[in-house]
Amino acid sequence: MRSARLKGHLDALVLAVLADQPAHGYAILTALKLRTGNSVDLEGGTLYPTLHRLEAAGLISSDWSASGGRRRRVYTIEDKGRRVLADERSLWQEFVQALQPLLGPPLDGGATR
Amino acid sequence: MARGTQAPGAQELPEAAWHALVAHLKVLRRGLRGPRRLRNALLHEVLADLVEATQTYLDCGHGPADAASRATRDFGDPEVAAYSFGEALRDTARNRRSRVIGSLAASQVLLWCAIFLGGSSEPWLERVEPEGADTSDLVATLGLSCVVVMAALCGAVALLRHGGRITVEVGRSERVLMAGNLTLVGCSAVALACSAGVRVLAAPGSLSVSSLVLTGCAVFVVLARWPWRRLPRMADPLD
Repeated sequence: MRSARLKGHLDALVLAVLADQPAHGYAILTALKLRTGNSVDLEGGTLYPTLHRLEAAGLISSDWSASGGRRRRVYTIEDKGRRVLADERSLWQEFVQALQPLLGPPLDGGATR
Repeated sequence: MARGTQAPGAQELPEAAWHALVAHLKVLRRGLRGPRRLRNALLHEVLADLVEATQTYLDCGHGPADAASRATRDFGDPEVAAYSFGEALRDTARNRRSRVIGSLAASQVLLWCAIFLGGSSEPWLERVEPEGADTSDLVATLGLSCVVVMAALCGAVALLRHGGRITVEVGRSERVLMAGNLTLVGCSAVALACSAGVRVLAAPGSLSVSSLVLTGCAVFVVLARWPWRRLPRMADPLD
């Protein structure tokens, strides 16, 4: 699933990954891929602007750290980000519940009227 | 380019992989617009991640060129990415500039009003004393004081509510500007507090002076504790 199909959910996905632990860009990409069973395959070119936008909005913060002789920019979720993530999660639940009867698997085994 | 020590990961990758990453980043760099410091920081960030991605593919058994090619493919088209990055960089720069200018403006308004009022020929205490005070002077002084105090308080509250958790990356010149500004505001607040001194404590009528001093101190504290973050000095990793 590429970024175009994730439009509107990208912020929440990134926040969800960062809610577990601080991470740098590549680690976020990898976590997204792993945790969605390779379904979400985001490009770095899409991720970084999203991270910078979330940071500008105060939802996450970043710090430069040196590890293994390399400077890495590590992102951490802020309290405001956690609140936004909680809101996004409940909105997502509502969304799925609302559309499940229409788009979910038919309960009667596929018979249509 | 020479595989200098500036570039993150320059010494870790096989030459073929390194050259492929550099070629990719050069396309990205060509399309980037925005402040140089932010551009360099972004290039460092992307390069570090590309190096790690390439290293991961190498560890999985891919050849150097193939590993680099896979890593850059994961990153996406650099020309398209440059456009998105450009937007983000412009937003960051605009955001940073407006915060710095806003902070400077708010504290300077407070500072100059304090100097103007504090340096007037008549002491404030006499102006706000009911007896013998010129009504128009009193109204003007109180009005100006109220505007200054309200503006400063609103600014301080806004900074605390919305700015406190937002780090703003500032360069050296901006740090110098902010430090000078904070010193001026701090000194004027202390000077006003000293000059008002006992009179402020003795006469509740000098509310405008004491509130202005307190507000000045509050704004100073807020600006001083705002997490202005120093953006590390970073050279272009491809130079």
